[in-house]
Amino acid sequence: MFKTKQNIFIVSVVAIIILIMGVGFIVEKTAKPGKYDAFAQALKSEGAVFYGAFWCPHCQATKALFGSSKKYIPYVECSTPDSRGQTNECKANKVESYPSWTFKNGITLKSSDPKPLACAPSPTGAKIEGEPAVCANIHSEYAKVWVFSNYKFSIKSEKDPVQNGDVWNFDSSAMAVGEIPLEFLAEQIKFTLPQ
Amino acid sequence: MPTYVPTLNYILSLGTIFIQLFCFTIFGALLFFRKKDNVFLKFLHDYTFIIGFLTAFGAMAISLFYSNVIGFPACELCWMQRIFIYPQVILFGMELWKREKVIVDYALVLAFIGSIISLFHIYVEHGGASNLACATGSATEVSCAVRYVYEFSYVSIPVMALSMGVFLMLILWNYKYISRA
Repeated sequence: MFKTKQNIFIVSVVAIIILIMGVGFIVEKTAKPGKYDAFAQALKSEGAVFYGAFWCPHCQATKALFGSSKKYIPYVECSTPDSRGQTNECKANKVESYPSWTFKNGITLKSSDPKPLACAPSPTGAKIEGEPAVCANIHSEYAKVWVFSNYKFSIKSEKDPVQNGDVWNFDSSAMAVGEIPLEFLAEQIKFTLPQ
Repeated sequence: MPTYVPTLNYILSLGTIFIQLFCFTIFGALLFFRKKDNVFLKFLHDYTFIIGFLTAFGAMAISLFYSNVIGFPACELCWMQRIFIYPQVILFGMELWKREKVIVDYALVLAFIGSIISLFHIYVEHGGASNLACATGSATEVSCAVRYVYEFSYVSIPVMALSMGVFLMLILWNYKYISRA
């Protein structure tokens, strides 16, 4: 009796494991095209790059915005497998925080903010006396970091932007840093998001 | 990161969801179909210790695999959860060897405290992402706010640990109930 019940138990455990793997396989294979497949592919073809780290919650949130289309986004993994270091590619591109986005034609944003905050570079990472508290968390070693009051992310740029009314143009060396909404990404490559 | 890691994360996350569904089933059975001759509860009772041993051993093996083979560093809260998970392998193992039922209460307390720490870790994971962006790895210590695994928009390592802790508590609760009958 005991042996029979034990066999049932072992068979059940094996069946459950096979079932879990089977469900995963079927879900993966029968997935429908994602809503943002074309958008994610357009970002890639237009030369946008998303630098991130697999462990970073902000990067995970950004990928989640794309849903099942995330496999097409132009993502570059910057973290070493142990999560403590950074790949040479990202070091060479001066990626200092995640997520960071770059665009081939630079970054354009609209803001009625008359005087956006520009945090000065801090080569040592130390707080600069007299600067606003928000700068302490977003310092760059190399570049100024711009914060516009109507955006929840910042723009890191070695060159100052060109202002034209309420439109601010940063050159192609600029990086948008933080959780960037899809609408903003779409504006950069002039893509109309699906409704 | 080795290429098999995303697949491993996906399979373990599916397993976690399965354990969560199983927890709801056990909880429902204990609440609404709480009879001593309930075949499902009786089956769980008869195999409490082998299930507990396999679950705790699996959790220990997976956590060591993540930190020592793949290389994800364990943060302070991860270590605290390990303190309450690893001894359960010994406890359940000793029951299987010596048939000492006295381990039930000890295993319950360990699972309970471990689950509380997992809950706190889940809170830290969500609250830890309050800055605009993540600092690069070279600038950070082993932070408990980072998520090495994040599947189905909610399954992370502490969620796996919490699911396992709750599962162990439920099978031990069931064991005590059926044994008392």
